[in-house]
Formats: sequence, C-alpha cells, structure tokens
Amino acid sequence: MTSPVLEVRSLDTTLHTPDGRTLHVLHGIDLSIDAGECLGVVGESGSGKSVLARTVLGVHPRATRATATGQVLLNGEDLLTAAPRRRAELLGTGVAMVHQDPMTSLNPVVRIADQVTESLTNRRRMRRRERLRTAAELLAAVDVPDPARRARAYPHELSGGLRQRVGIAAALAGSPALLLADEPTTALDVTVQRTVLDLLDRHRGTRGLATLLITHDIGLLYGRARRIAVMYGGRIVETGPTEAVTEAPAHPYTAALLRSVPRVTGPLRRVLPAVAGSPPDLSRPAVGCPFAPRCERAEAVCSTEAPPLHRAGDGHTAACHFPLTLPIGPASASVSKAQETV
Amino acid sequence: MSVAEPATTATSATTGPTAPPAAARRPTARRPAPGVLAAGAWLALVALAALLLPLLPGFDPLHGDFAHPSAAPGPGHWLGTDAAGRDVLQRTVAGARASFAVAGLTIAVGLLGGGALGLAAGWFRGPVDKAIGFATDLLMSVPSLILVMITVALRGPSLTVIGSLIGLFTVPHFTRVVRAVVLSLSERGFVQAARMIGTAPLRILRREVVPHVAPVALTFAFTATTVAIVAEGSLSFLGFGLRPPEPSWGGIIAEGRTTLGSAPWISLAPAAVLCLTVLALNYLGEQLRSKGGRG
Amino acid sequence: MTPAHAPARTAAAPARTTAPTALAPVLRTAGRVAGRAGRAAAVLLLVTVSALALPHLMPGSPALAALGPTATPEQVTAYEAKLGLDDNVLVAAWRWLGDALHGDLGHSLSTGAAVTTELADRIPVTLELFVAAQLVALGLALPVALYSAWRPGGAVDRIATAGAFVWLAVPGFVLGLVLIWLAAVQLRILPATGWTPFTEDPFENLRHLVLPALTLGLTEAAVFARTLRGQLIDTLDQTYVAAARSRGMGTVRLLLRRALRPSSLPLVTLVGIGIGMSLGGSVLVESLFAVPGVGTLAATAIAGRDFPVVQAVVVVSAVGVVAATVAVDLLYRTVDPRIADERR
Repeated sequence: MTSPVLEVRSLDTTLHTPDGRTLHVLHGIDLSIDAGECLGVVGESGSGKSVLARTVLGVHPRATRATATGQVLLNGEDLLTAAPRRRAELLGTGVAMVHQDPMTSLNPVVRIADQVTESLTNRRRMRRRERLRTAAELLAAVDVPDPARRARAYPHELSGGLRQRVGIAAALAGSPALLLADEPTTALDVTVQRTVLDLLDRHRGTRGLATLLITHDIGLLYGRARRIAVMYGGRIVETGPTEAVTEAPAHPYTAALLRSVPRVTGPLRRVLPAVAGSPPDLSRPAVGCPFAPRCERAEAVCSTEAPPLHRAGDGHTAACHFPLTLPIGPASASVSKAQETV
Repeated sequence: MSVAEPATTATSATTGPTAPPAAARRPTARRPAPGVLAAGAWLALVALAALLLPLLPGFDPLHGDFAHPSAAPGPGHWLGTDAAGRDVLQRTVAGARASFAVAGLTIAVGLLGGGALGLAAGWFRGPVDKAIGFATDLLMSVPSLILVMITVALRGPSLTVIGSLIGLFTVPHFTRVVRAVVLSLSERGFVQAARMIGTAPLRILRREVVPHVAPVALTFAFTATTVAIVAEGSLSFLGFGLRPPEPSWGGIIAEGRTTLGSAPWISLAPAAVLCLTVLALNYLGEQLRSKGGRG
Repeated sequence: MTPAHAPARTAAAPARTTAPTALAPVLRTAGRVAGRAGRAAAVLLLVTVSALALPHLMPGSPALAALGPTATPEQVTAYEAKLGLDDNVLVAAWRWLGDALHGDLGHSLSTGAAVTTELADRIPVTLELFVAAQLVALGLALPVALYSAWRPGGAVDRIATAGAFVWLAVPGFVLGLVLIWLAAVQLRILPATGWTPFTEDPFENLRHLVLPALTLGLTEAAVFARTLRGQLIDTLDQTYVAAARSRGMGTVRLLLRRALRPSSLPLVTLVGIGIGMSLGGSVLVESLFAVPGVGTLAATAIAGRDFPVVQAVVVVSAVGVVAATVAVDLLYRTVDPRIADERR
C-alpha cells in the first residue's frame, strides 16, 4: 500500500481578521489523497473549504493571520512545522493551486508567458526566449490553441475559458504532486466548465497528480472524484466513496445538498428545495452539531453534544447523532450513547 | 450649520456610517480625538491672536525697537526682533491677518465660482458638463503661479488681486468636488423622485442638493485655505505678494532670509507658525473628509 | 487635481478586427495621438492668444509706463509695434506663432538678446534640476511606499504616513530656507545659492544642485509615497498577487516585478503633472537658490515687464504641459496594456 500524497490529520485553523475578530474556521479535519486520486470537497460558501485549501497551501490573504494546528503531510513531510524556506520551496513545485476566478487571478499587466512560468522562474533565471518557449509548451499541454502567440499576450486578450487554462498551466508548470483546485469552474460558462474539468482529469491521470477539487456543486463530482468529503461549519460532516455518499447519504446535510441538485430524470415540475437557514457564525464557539439549527432531524442533544462518528459503509462515515442510514459492523459506543439520550 | 444627512461623495476616502438624521443634527456625542482638539486649539489661538492682539495698546508691528535690532527670542520679544528692531511675534500676528484675509477671498471666489460651475456641470450634464470640463482642464494646465505673478506685476499687489486670482485657480478643484457630489446625488432616488413629481428645479437645488453639497465644499475649503496661505507666501517670497505695511507670513519670512545666518528666528519663527497652521488645517480637513464630508 | 487623470477618449480608434494585425495597435495609438494633438493645439492657441493679450491687461499705456512720460510719439509707436500692440490680439498672435515656427521668439526688451538664446541657455538648467528632483522623490518614495504597503499599519508605515502628512504642511519656500539654514549656514557643507554649469565643473554643479533638488524633490516624495502606498495596498489585496505567491514568488520579486507596475498609474500621472507644473515650482526654487533657469528668467522678466520674454515663457511652459500630458497618456498604455486595447 502506497502512502498518500496528502494527509491531513486533525487540522484546526483559526483566522485573525484585520478588524480584530477571531474565527475558528476548521475543526479537526482529517483527509488523505493518493497519487492520481481526486478528492471532492463539497460545501456551501462559508463551510471552510477554501480556507482548507489555503491552509494546505500555507498562503492566506495578506490581511489575515492564520494559525493552524494538527498535521498537513505532503508526501510524509509536515508542512505546518516545515521551515518557511522549505514551504516557499514547495509552493508551485510540491503543491499548486488553481484559483477560482480566472478574471482576477491573472496579473493584467504581465504577459501570459511570464505568469505561466512563474513556478520555474522563481527558482532559476530564464531568458525571455526560453520563457516564451516553455510557456508555449505548457499552454499547448492544456489545449490552448496557438500557444506561441497566446504566450506573448496579456490576460485581457483571452477569453475566460482560456484564462482558466492558463491558470491550470501555471499551476502545472512546477510539476507539483498535489493540485488544489478551488472552484475552478464556478466563474466559467457552463459549456466551458466541462472541458476544463476534463482537462484536470486528464492531467491527474497522466501525471499521477493528487487533486483536491473544491466545489459547492456536488453534481460536478460524479465520475470525477473517487471520494467526497462534505464540509459544513468547518467540519467534514460526511466522507466516503462518491457513489455511496451520493446514493445513500448518511448525514442530513448531505441529503439536503443532494436534494438541491437538479436532475435530468424525475418529475418535471419539481421545485428544487434549498437548504433552509444560513451557515453558522464562526466567531462563536461551536457546541454540538454545527448543522443542528438547520437540521430537520435535530433534537436537543444535537445542540449540546458533538455528534459521534457514524460508520455508514466501507470508508463511509458521517458525524451525526441521527444518521439517515443504519450503521454497519459493530455499533460503536458513541452510537449507543446517542440512543440512550433519546 | 445643520446638515440633514451625511453626504456620500466620491471625494471621501471612507464613508462614515450613515447616521440617523437626528444624530447628524446634534453635535457628535463622542469626544473629539486629541489631534482634532490640538489642531482646533491651535487655529483658535492663531485666530484669536490675529483678532484681539491688535486691540492691545502696545501692539505695533511697525514700531522698531532700534535699541534691540535682530534680538534673539527672549523676554520682552518672545520671538525676537527683526533687523529693524520690530517684534517678530507682533509681525507674525499681523501676518496672520493678511494671510487669512487672502485665504478668505480665495475661498469666497472658489466656493462661488466652483460651486456654481460644479452645480451646473452635475445638474445639466451633457454639453454643459463637457464645456465646463474643458474650461477647468484649461485653467489647470496653465502655470498658475506665473499667471498670478504677471497679473500682480501689471495690476499691483492688492489683496483683491491676489486673493481673487488664487481663488480663480481653486475654482477647478471646487468644481470637481461639487460636480462629483451632484452627480452622485442625482443617481439617488430622492432627487429623481422630486423631479418626477414636478418640483421646481430651483427648489430641488435648494432643498435637496445644496444641503449635501455644502458640507463637502466647506470641507474642501480647508484645503483651499492652505493653498491660499502657501500660494500667497510663495508670491511674497518672490516679491509679488502683499506689500508692507501689511506684512503677510510669506513677506515676513522672505524679509528674514538675508539674515538667516545671524538671526534665523526672523524667518524660521513665522515659518513654524505658518507650517503648524497649514498642518492643523490639513488635519481638520482630512478628519472631516474621512467622516464622510460632514460639516 | 489631475488634468491628465482620465486617458483621452477623443480619438476614434480604428475598428478592432477579430484577429488584430500587428499594425492595429500602432494605428490605434496614432489615432489617439492625433486626437490629443488636436486638443493640444486648441489649448496652445488659447494660451498664445492670452499671452499676447497680456500687455493689454495693464492699466494705461504699457508703452508710456515703460518709456516714461518724456517718450516721443515715435518711440511709443515703435514700442507698441514691437509688442504687437498696434494690431488686434488675434493678428498679433498669428504673427507671433508664424515667427515662432521660424525660430524667432522676439527679443528681450531689457537685454535686447534673442529670446530663443535666453531660453536655450536656461532650459537645460531647469531640466537638470527637474530630473534631479524626480530622482530624489522617486528614490525616497519607492522604497518607503513599497515597505509601508507590504506591512501596512507597521512601525515604518505609521511613521512614514504621519511623516508625509506633516511634511506636506511645509511649503517649498520654507523647506528651502530651512535647508539653506541647515546645510549652508549651520553645517557649511553646501553653497546656499548660485550655480556652476555641468560642463564647467561637474562636481561644483552637483554641489549646487543638491539643495534645490532636495527642496523640489522632498515635497514631491511625500505626495508620491502617499499615492503609491495606497495603490500598492489595493494591488497587494488582488487575487493575482495571492496567485503569484502561491507559485512560490518571494516578497521582493513580488513587490517589484508584479505589484509595482499595476500600482504605478497614478504615479505616472503625478510625474506628468510635475513636468507640467515644474515651471511654477522652479520659479520659486530657482529664485530662492539663485539658479539661472527658466524660472528665474520668468521672475525677472515679469518684474521688469519684459513682455516678449514673458510671452515666450508662458507659451513654452504650456507646450511643456501639453507634451507632458501626451507623454503620460502614451506611458499609460505601456504601463497598462488594457488601456491600449480599450475600444472606446
């Protein structure tokens, strides 16, 4: 059995915002991604999924200060305790990120070639001709037509889809082992979304790239992510193989998310139910289950006690007092405890 | 001055929280920052001195104490005396009168001219706005100091000429500030609503627009005051400012430059007063601006 | 306060084709320059006419004022002909412009020398002073702004911001006096006034350059630093800066190679205005330090009512302003490629 490319163990992240607030954004995150594997992280905005990516990367918005505890192991090396120099070294070459909005994530006054090759030129000098040539190769690898000309262009001369390909090319330039893709297609036209995701899949396959694909759209993950982690309120509330999680969700939140996905099959005049309520306020200390205030199955215990881990299947777990599926295997102590309180 | 509502303008860097109208009419409940107090106190001191000291019997900035020419600061002459034995403090106080007189005229011209042009540009838009824009651009692209110098050379260094000309060159800036407010106002609902129900334009201007424009324009008047003080100082320094016996700050500072080696206080004392005054005005202007232009 | 704030949209750019040829940007730029030039010509014409109208501003007869009450009618007529007072202002302006195109700006009333030679002697001095002042200003403002913006609210930033605010309250003539008092009177390390041409003695030239250049440059440095800091802070909050950081770009490279350029548009504007307004500033500083540049020429000519010189200086400075505006406009396009491709 090979060791995973990324392994995150009981990661807690706290953000200190410039206006003096302290937000406990991530609570006890555990996950792992193997080489060539795609883990889909699903959650609504405010669930902490972007902060998760930034914590793994170690780059936060300039104004916020972040403290993280736990372990973030990249090929067995803990990034949280690594020296700043080593972390900087791994940026782009060990772990790379594809940003959400290609309109804002490319520098408007810097030529495409210079941005695409950044992961390389940050380590060694490259002549202009070499930069242009390398950039053209990188752009060709992400199916940018006429790459030599595009390398000389400025971002505003490219369409949104092309810009996101440029973003992917820039992320792949340093041959990273792990790719963090934070809503890589949210800002794109629906028609372009698919091709960009296919492109990511292709490189994941050919390069053996471990991919953390973050999205609010659980539908995107069918057929792409082998496993899914559903985040809510800074916690992974359910995780498991994609089929198991989507077909038999154990957590009420996952079920609510799935109900809000439009389906081609099924009755035509179906009103898509929205998940009622809004995400929790992260500046307050969390007690009990974060989803309890919005959960239709919630009872008194949900807002006072942290939910136990419920094993719904092989590698499929959910943190819930009252899961939607029956537990498999021997009932855990916490489950029976939950039943006692009922 | 009563202001119905804090105006949101393009000029204000940060817009203060929208206070309910009642709160805006009352003086701010919070205590002003120490910096504001200090700046206000300094300006009050300078203004009071300029107004009241000349009423004292011993006050005569033109009287030369020939026994003590170029005396260092000390008792009797707190800021020393100049080469003719005149008291530097008294001359600085007298200079404040001249400098503020120029500034007053500057603001009057700038507010009236810029206010009218800015209102017209923002209200009528279209060709009127374009024409006013071209005129202000033109005015801003001429070397203002040189033009004032030429005019002073030709028409004589009177307070009227200097004050109104400096005022003329602040008109473009006032115009821009006012125009920006009017434009932002007309995009807001109540002006459009007033127009639609057929309120007479003048009434809208008086009731809705002017109350919003006034605080912003008056805030900019702080900046214009410093511009006038510095410009008049520069003119005096070049020999194109107010002539004695009405010494302005610039004139007094210029007079002392020949004795900078032996009696630096003749120049540097009034220079310090000038700088502190400009600093205080800038600071108050900045504070007002950052509070959303509330007057 | 920025005449060149908005890039001109007067010129109609050639229609953008789907596949822009190499010629298209050149044509677009040419079109813009032509539009700018038309506007500039209008401004210059207005300024010239106003400059030629200057003697009319004088109460009474300028000729009598200059020649004294004992002047003969012939002398008065000759004087008025020299100033173009015998004609309509527009005719005089037309004639003046025609002569100017042939390199004739008239002769000084006080020295009799050709105005062109006077200007040729003095323009290099003013330019040298201006360039030195910009170097001082940028040399101070760039590092301060970069560091302040990288650590906003930090010790350096707070001191620099407060310092710049206080500094801006010090007018140029006061700063110049204080510098003279410090460097020339107290420390006796630099000459207070005077000038040595560079061609005569480079070292002496430099010594005479320091104080006037500091006087002009230090005030500008505060303005530059304030403006650049604000822009840099905005830029550093952009996603593309975070993206560059996520590719392992170091702080220094990030600031200099990625953040500085998109932040420098207002700075370009400021330097441009500086070129245009340098004449006003140089009048003051050159007079204070007795530097024989265009500024002192203007001050002396104005005081002596030497109209031909005054008119030439006014028009030349207007040309400078217009040229600076055009230069800023073109530089905008180099700094930010998006402006070059703007289709309006």
